[in-house]
Amino acid sequence: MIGRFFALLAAGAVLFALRGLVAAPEPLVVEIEPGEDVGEAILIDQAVRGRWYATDSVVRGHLVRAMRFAGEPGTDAELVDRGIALGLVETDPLIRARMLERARWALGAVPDPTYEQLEDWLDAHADEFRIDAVYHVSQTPREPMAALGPTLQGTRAQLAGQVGERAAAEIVGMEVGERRSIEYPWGTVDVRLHSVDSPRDAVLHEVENAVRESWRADRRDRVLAHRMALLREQYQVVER
Amino acid sequence: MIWWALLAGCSSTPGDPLEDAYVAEVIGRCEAYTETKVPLFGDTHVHTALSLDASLQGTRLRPADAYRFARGEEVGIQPHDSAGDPLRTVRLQRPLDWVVLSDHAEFLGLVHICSTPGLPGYDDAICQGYRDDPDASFFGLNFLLTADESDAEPPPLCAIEGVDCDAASAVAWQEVRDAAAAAYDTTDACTFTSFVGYEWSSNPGALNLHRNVVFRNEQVPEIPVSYFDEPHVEDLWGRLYSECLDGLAGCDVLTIPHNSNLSSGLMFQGLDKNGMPMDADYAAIRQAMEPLVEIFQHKGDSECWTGSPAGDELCGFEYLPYNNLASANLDQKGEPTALDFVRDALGEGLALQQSLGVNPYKYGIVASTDTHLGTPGLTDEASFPGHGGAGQANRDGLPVGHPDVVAFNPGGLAVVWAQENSREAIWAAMRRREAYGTSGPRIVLRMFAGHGLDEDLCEAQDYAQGGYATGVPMGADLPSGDGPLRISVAALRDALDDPGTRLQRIQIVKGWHTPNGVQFAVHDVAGDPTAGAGFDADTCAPTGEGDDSLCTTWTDPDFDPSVPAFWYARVLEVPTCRWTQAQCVDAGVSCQGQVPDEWAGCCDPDLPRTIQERAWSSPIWYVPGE
Repeated sequence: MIGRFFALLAAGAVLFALRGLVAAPEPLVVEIEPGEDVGEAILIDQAVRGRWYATDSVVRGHLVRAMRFAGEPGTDAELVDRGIALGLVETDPLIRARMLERARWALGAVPDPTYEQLEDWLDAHADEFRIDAVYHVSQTPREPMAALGPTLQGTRAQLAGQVGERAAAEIVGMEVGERRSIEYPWGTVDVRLHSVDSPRDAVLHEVENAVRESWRADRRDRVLAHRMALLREQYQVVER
Repeated sequence: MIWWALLAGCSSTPGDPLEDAYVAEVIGRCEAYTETKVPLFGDTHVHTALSLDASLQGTRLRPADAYRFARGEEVGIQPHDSAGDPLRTVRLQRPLDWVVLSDHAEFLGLVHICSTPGLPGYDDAICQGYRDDPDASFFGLNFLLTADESDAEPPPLCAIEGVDCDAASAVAWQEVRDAAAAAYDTTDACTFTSFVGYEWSSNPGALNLHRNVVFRNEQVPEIPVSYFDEPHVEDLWGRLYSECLDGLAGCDVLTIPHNSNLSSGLMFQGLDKNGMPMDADYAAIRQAMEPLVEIFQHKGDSECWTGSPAGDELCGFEYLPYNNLASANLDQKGEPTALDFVRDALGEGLALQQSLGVNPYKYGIVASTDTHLGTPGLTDEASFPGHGGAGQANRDGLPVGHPDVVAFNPGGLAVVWAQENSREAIWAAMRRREAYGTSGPRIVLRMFAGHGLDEDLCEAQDYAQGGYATGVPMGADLPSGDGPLRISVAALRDALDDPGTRLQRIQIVKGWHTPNGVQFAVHDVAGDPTAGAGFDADTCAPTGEGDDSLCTTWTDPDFDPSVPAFWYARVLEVPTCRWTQAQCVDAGVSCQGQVPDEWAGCCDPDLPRTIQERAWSSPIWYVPGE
């Protein structure tokens, strides 16, 4: 429930922000040097407007080191404030680079889909997330096989990993309650199939991470290009 | 401003009350749950295209691809044609149960920058070299890792104004985290488990001190710690304490050392970063951070060496004729030292336990591949496609002859005894060292020890239940008790129907501490090494018989309750063709006639034609009075 709340909140925030961009009454202005990359200039402008330098641990650490190198006294927090006041954020190439990286990272990130989007994606791709049948058997070897446990459970693939493909195929062909002697790789084993958990479609909470990544992968490139284009449209570029 | 909105939901901030309230999953969520535990086969050492050395050798599989492969899908590997399509494909015969991805922390950011057009640094000469001259870059950049600890520095690219390697590294790290989250089967079918990890690649003077860093769950630090950040292992552990164990709710971590065989004695030398003998605090931290050691992988066996006081005649298995990483890459042969091997370290641990009160080398055992192709668990001998991160690169064309340095091998597997296939269950098994390693085959190996162990345990209706009820499993401490010490070991051969290689014997390796030093003994306790089982080296066809299943309950005739000791089991298959020989046979090479140059190695009398695949249990320890 909490996850759904935050997903809706995030979606609302994105929609709000995008709506604000589309309806922006005044274009933003960015000044560039001749030959400077327009996209970079826009990303830096966004990062400065967001005051990322004030919270970014890399930037703060760099400011502290730079100010201490210059012989400034004070606590870390005081040095950070003083460095910002001196305009290092706008002029220091390392801070610019850090903010540019963060901006690109954020631009390329796909925000969390809403719960409804995940549900829709799962519905449309149910086969990819289907849960296989799980078989529960007891097994008694005719000859001692100490390392073989008295029970065996798992999907067909898991059974094959433990007792070989041939024996696994026999087990999945049994009826519930049936007893059968099966040739395991190590000898004959008396097997009883106790129950089978039927295969079923996954519900979202069971496969949420996988569904989210699948959804994101489908959108990542498109989102990156789309967001950069959206940003570019909001800016008026002025060459110095 | 749209950034806060874009980032909302993508990450949480430090101190977020939701993170502070992190709730770990509990063991018991899986439909297939077995109280007496099942063996789960995995790989704790896997590199993808995110690793510098892998990408320079043409690996293009990324973390999500490696997980797809581990779960049973076919993938394509290098070389690639001009259209970018792979010219080789590989697939596991059986999926793995679990995997840790462990890309090198060093150069994680550089690889991202140099392969992402538009990023600051992309057009720098270092990145141009990375893209245009990968062989020179391989040696040039990896040379940085051979700097002494005091001189360890990141690549010059990262010092260029405007280039931010940390931020780029964080991007790659996020890909690792996302891939692990997506691959983890959180349904009650519990078919596959992923772990987030990386490799800290300390390499002073080309001596290997690498550690794989493994996290318990998705709660991980924001960025991996590299050799350039923390050149000493104590400081790596310190960062892991501050950024994970003490600094992030729900975060837990362990480190796994590997390739002590390439450390020239450094891995277990017993000194701290100041060159002083380790103290009890160091020993306690090492024991807490390192419950496991990787005993076997592509670059050889680290169990024991025939030249060591702890050696035996079976220690020559997959012996790597190098003693440091540089010589492995340059094919300059060298002899290891006695304290390069896990068995020697286990013995040294007994001695340190006596002097410090703590055993810093209380290592459980795993093995893994160290694949740099992004192909976890690909241990099949006959189809070994190469290592992909050192030795021969198959980046620019299909291999002619053997696909890699013939001293390498297809690597091994890590196995844990866990109640179910979930992160919590596997993590708990690693922590209590109920784990073992194999040189590739999926041998099932159980071991229990106890004073009250039933002599007829092997015939019991439920072997494991009896073992847990009256003894302790592999990886545990043996409590003091009355009566003879019995050790029970049971093994099943790999269940693969065809080919199915049988077992030859079970051995118990014992080490014990005396006033005159640590002693070692190897006991054959089950099977028959003289039964003549083997294979025809000209066809690789098996000959003779072995055992499908072995079990024995052995009484240690020399057990002395006043003497500290450890015991571990070694299970041996019957001899089979080594990968080099299998590929020679497959290529139709006959040493009686004309041998093509590319297959000349097939007729090299120094190249072993045969191996005995094996499994090594974690030890069981005994300390008087504990």
